[in-house]
Amino acid sequence: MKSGKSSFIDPLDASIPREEFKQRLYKQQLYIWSLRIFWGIGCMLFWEMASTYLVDPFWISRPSHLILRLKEWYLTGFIFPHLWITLLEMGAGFFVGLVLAIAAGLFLGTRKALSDLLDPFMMAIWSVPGIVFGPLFILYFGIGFTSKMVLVTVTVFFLIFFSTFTGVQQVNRDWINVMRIMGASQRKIWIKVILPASAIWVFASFKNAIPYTMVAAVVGELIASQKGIGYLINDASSVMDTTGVFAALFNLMLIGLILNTVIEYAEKKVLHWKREEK
Amino acid sequence: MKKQSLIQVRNIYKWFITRKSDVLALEDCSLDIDKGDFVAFVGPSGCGKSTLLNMIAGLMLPTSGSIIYQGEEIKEVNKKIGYITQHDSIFPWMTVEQNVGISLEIRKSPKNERVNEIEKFIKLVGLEGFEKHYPSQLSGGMRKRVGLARTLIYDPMAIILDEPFGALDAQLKLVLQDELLKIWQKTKKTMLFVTHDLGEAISLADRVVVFTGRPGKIKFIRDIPIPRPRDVFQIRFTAQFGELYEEIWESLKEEVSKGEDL
Repeated sequence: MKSGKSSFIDPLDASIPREEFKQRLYKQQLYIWSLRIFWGIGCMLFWEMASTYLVDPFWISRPSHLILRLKEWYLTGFIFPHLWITLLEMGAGFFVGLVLAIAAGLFLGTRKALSDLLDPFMMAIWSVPGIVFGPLFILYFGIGFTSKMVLVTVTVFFLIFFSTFTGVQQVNRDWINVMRIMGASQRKIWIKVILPASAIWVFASFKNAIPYTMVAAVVGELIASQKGIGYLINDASSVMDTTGVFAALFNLMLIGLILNTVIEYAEKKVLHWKREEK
Repeated sequence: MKKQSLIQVRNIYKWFITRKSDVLALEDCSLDIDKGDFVAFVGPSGCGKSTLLNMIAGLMLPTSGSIIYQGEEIKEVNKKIGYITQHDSIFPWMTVEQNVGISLEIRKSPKNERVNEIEKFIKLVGLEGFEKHYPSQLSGGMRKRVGLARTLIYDPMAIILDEPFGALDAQLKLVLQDELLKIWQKTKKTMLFVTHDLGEAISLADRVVVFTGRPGKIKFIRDIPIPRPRDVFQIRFTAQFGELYEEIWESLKEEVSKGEDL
C-alpha cells in the first residue's frame, strides 16, 4: 500500500485498534462495491451510447434490448429448459469426470511401475484438448444430452486426473513413514494421510476444471444440439439476432460467477486447516 | 549372564544400487544401545547415519548384517519405535490434539482413555490452550513439541530423532534441547539423536557416535561423562565441554574435510 492517507488497509495491520479496524474494513468493502457497481453501470451506458452513435446495434445489440430480452426469457420461462439442460450436462459430466479422475489419479499415483508404463500414452492424450472429441461423441451418442455430458466428463477427467496423479506422488514420505511406524494399516494411511494431502491438489484442479465444464458443454451444443445455451447462441446468430446471442452469453457469465463462488466456499470448508494462518 | 542391549546392530553393510554406480553407504557397523541411553550420531553429510537409523526403524533393510531390537530381529517396519524427522512430519490438516492422538486412534484405544492421554501429553510438552489449533497457526518450536508429544504418547521404547532441531535458530534450539532433556529424564526413553551440530550432541548425549565419510563406518564412540542433570545453556562454557568438543572435533574435522574433497 502507498504510505500516507491511503484509504486501503492491509488486512494484517495490527497497529490499528480492533474496533477501528473493523469499521475501516467495512468502509473499504462498501467503497469497493460501490465502485464495482459504478463501473458496471458505466460500461452499460457506454455500450448504449456506442450503439446509438457509433455502431449499428445490428452488430453489437444494446443493453436496453438485452435487458428486455432477458426479462422476456425469464418471465415467460423460455430460458429455463435451456439453462437446465446446460447445467445438467455440466453438473453430471463434472461429477462423473471428477469421480473417475480422482479414482484413477489415486490408483495410478500409487503404482509407480504401472504409471511409468503408461506415461507416454498419458502424455499423448494430455496434449490434446478434450474438446476435440466433440464431433466424435456426437457421432457416437447423438445430438442430445449424452454426447455433451460425455464431452464434459472427458475434459474434466484429464484436468483433474493429472493433478491428483501428481499430488499423490508428492505426498511427503515422512508422513507415510511415521504412520507405518505407528502401526497404521494401508487403509488408515490412505484415509488419514494420502487423501487429505492430495486434497490441495484436487481442489486446485477443481477450480481450473469448472470453467472448462462450461466450455465443453457449450462447445458440444454449438457443434450440434436442440437445446441448451449453446443452442440458443447458434440459433440466435443464425437469424442474425445479436441481442439473443448476448442474452445467452449473459446467462453463461452468470453460471460461471455462481460456480466460482460455490467452489471458493467449498474450498474454505474442506481446506480450512490451510487457511487459518495466524 | 550379561543383560541384552535394547538395540544390537551387528555387522551392517548397506549398498545403494543406482543406474550409474553402486554406493556403499555403510560398512561393517556394529553398535549396542542400552535401554534409557541418549546416543548422538555425528558425521559428515551422506555418511549414512540417517540410513542406519532408518534401518533401526525398519524402513529399509540392511544388505547384510542384522539389527536386533528388544530381542527380535528387525525384518519389517519397527512399530515399537518413535520416529521424528527434521521437517515437521506432523499433519497440517489435523489440530494439535488430533495430531497427538493419531497413534491412539490407529491402535484403537478407547475414546475416554484417549482423551486423557492426549491431555496429559499436550501438558507434558507445554502446549495447553493450543489443542484446537492447526499447525499453520503454530510457531516452528511448537510444531516440534507436537511431534514429540505425538511420539511419546504411544510409549515406544526408543525414539529416533533425525536432526529434529536442524532448521531452527540458535536460541530456540537451546530451549528445545533443554526441554528434550527434561522430558527424557522424566520418561527415560532411549534416544537416538542424529545431528550436524557437535555441540548439540555433547550437550545432550551419554555417548557420541562419530561416523567416517562415505562409506560410513563408525570411527569411534565417545562417552560423555558430564554429570546430569545438565544445563544446556551453561554447559558450553565448562572446561569439560570444551575438552570433549576439541577431542571429538579433531577427529570429525578430518572426515568433514575429506567429504568436501570429493
